[in-house]
Amino acid sequence: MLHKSRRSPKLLAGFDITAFACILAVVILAIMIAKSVSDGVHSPVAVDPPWEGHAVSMASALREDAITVRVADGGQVWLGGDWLDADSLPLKIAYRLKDPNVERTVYIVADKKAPLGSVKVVLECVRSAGITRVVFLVNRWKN
Amino acid sequence: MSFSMAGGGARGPQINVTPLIDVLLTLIIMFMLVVAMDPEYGEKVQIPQPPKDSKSVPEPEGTVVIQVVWTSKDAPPTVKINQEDVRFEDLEFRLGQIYLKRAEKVAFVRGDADVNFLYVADVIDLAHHAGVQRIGLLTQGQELRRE
Repeated sequence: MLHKSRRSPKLLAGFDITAFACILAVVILAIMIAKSVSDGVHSPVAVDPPWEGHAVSMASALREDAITVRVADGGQVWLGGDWLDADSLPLKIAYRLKDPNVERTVYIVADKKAPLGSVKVVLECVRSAGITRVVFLVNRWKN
Repeated sequence: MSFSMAGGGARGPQINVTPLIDVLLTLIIMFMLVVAMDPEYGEKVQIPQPPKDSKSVPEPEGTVVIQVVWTSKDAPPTVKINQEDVRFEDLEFRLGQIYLKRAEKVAFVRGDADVNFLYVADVIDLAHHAGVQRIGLLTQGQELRRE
């Protein structure tokens, strides 16, 4: 006579997915906080850059250590999250360039209504800091 | 007669967290996609370096300087290629003609201080599309030296 094993309908071992859900929730919160913090650092002032049709992709502008200068429509200048006057800009850029890993390119986000004169002041400061490569970050039309 | 309270009884109500995990996974994927699909676009320019010696170096022949000249408030500026007036709509075509036979595709952009940056960005964008590979944006000090 064969002995037929009978399994209990009860679950023998259960995977506790509550802990998994908690980890996912924490990951989402971390992503949201990191994104809001990084947006806060990179967008301290409302700048509306112009829209262009042939701008090229600039993946390196998304680097954490990219030197990004913002020029508002009133001519105010921001380096990263810090508002500063143009006189201190060369020193601040030179300080950032002490890091040998920093790309020697300055990314300028200028408002479309910013007077060119204020952009030129920034360019002069960038040049006096020893940088010749500049990228104007713009929005791109979807073709 | 005795009653046992330990185990054996029906388990209490439990929250089904499986849909919650589905929602969380979807949110994570959406966040990752939004971050990945948000690239930056830009227009490359260079800032010309002044000559090392104090003597003014003569401008090389054939240098193309695109000038963006302020006209009046809220009016679009006029554009000149060297001293030739060009309509904004014809700028790309004219630059294409100029750079068609040139090996060195370099142009300089000079603009008045009151001109909105929008127009200068447009000029740089059109010049790039017309085939100009390197654009130098003349700054305040360099303009003064040229004048």
